[in-house]
Amino acid sequence: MDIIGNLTTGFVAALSWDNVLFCLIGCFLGTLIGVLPGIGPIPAIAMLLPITFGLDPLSSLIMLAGIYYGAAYGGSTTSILVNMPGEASAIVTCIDGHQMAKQGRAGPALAIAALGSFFAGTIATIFVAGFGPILSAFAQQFNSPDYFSLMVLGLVTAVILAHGSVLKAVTIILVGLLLGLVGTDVNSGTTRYTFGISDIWDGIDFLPVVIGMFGVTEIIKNLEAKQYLRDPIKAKLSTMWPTKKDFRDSAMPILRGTALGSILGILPGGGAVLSSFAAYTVEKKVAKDPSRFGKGAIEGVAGPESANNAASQTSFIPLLTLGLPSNAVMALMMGAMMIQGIQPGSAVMTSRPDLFWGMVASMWIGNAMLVVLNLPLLPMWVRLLSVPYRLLYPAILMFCVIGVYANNNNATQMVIVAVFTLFGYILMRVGAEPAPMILGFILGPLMEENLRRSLVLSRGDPMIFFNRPISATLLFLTFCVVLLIVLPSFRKTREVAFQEE
Amino acid sequence: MVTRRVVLQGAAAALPAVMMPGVVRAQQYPAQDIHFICAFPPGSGADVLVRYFAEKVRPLTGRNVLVENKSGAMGNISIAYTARAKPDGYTVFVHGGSGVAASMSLFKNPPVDVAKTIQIAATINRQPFMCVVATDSPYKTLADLTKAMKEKGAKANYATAATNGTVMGELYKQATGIQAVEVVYKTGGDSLNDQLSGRIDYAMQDPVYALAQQREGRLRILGISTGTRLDATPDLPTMAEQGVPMDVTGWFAAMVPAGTPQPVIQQINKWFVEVVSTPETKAFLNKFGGDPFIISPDEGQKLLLKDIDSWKEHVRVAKIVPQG
Repeated sequence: MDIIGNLTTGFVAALSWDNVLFCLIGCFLGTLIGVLPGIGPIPAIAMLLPITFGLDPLSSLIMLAGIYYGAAYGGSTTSILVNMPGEASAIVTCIDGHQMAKQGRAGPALAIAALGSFFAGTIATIFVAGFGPILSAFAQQFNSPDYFSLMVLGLVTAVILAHGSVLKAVTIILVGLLLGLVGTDVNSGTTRYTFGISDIWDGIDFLPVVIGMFGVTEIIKNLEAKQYLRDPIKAKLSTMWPTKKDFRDSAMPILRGTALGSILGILPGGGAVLSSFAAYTVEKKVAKDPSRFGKGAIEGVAGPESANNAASQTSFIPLLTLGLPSNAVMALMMGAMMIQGIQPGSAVMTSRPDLFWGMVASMWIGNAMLVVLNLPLLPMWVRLLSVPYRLLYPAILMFCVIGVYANNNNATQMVIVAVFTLFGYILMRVGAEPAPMILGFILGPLMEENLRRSLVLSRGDPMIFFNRPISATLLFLTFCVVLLIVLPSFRKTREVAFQEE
Repeated sequence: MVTRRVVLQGAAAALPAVMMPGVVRAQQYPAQDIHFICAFPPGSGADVLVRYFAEKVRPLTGRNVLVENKSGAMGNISIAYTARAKPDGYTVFVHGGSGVAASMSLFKNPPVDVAKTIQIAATINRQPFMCVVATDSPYKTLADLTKAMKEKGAKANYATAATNGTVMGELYKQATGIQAVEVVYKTGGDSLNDQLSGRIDYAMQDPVYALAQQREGRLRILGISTGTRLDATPDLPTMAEQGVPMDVTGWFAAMVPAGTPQPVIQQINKWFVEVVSTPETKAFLNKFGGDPFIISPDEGQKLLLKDIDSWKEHVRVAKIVPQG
């Protein structure tokens, strides 16, 4: 009953004409920003922050939140259409989503991404409303050793992300780990692998790396192809919508993705990023024919897209209940609240229930709007692909450059894009995939920090990772995943044996 | 190497100064948009502060005020950028004056000598770092904590997440002779779970985090690092008054390149004084755990020079190895 009462309060607050309008503006701006490759939600929200000073607190938060979802949504659009992820969580969408687009199935991929996200958003909203405080208590149980074990699990599962050689996957993850070490060591303050370049003292930025390795590399790859191969992404209008089979194939992945994303999103730091990777891994493992993954499997779009949307909703929980922002966007939301004279934290729930529940309700309204806004636009996005290559790709390249530069007004970022384009090209040539590397790059520093912290706390005793139930469970799961990776070779030999009988 | 372009730029910079005396320039200032430089990436707490001031100063100038994020190299990129900008008042660096002073000691080769290249135009706030323990811990005062930590010896742990915290922790250990081990976190929030589970005995944290968690009933603040109590938190005792002498004060300021004409500096000062003295700004700054702080540009410059010296001492005491 409580959930219904709370949600009613929320919907009453969020459904005023003003708030619906701000939600719409936010979603629209967000989609626009997300669709422009290279331009992410953070600079957009930062720039729009001052505009919200004069607004009612709820309206301003609803608008900023709308930009956040909108951008995440628009980001998947570019991932699918042009292999250009705007943020970490959209990287996995590229793997199968872009393959689908190349097969002329951009429409179904986009539609499933939208519907999956909407479903996940709906469930996650209920989740936040019903269990927010309880969930935050769970997240609070995570100590440094537990985080370390979670990152180990994440990295090991990254191996499954790649198809093909396990050796190549492991190697590329290790490269990612090493790249993640560049910058200032948190524990000692020492700068590492910076070669005296002060621009990378704070580490290599994520955006230029993915733009180089995914986006620009993709463009070069296309340039190498023969002219007639370059333009085949012309979707037939008949395949604009998912077929019945697509829906059947996507139903379970959406459910699983929603569950995974909802839980991982609560963990402050890294949880939301892990969710889409984790969902992809799960889908690939439960699939009857894992070899389809990486070649345009719709499950590889449905699962991760649902997971990352669920996680982006539940990542509000640490902010709203613990007063801890779990990522840069949440930190900005926290700033927006403070400017409005609201202290983020559990007190918001009791002191301003209309605000708290209004925001929760606006999450759902925002998601609904995105679907309404985007499904009709879908044929337009798909047609974008029929823009001649010589016009489309220079434009994309230009937006990438602007986006990466605008992020920090720093020309060194361009050099980083160039370096990682070269690197991405080499990887493509040797047949290794970039996605696992990015996961290593993101999780590596988190893993290292927590490893060293734990060992400082235990004065060097590694048993700290096995004494705690959460950590021990995660390490056990890691062990199981390692077995899973090794098993297929057993399974194959077994199948061969059966056939011979 | 002096290229033709540098010479031309130099000439261009010198030209207006020759043609128009300072007074005339000041009357015309601001004749174009003003850029606020922010050394933090969008989305950080300090970024919000810079944007707040940009928004509030904008109507006073009659011009647009643009915020430019130039993060990286722990603020050094922005410091160097400001130092090398044209001293015309159109580049204003809004940042911790204390942080700018500290850069001289934290790095092997500071990009610029800030004492000679940076001029304080206006001060904004002063804020403490805070010593916190878990609410359910038995330590009600700093004396309780000190006593317990002495007994625990080298088994005790404390958390820090910023250089100021490291310095504060080290000063506390030196004054009391306790031997707790420092565990470094990236943000205050990262240390919360470890502290609540009892692995971390105490922590030296930034005021935004400490105050938020005290309000949530998870942490208790035992002492603040400033020399005197603050209006924002009149009930919180200083470390110094509890027998641990220290004055680690962070202060934000609006800074311009050295050589900016006095009338322009005075104009920027006037804008900031006007914004900082409003009740709205006071409430805003108090939320960050700090007090509005207004001193003249000359006093501000003296404070910068003084802080350069105190940070040399801080870095020595805390055994921080300069980077570069």
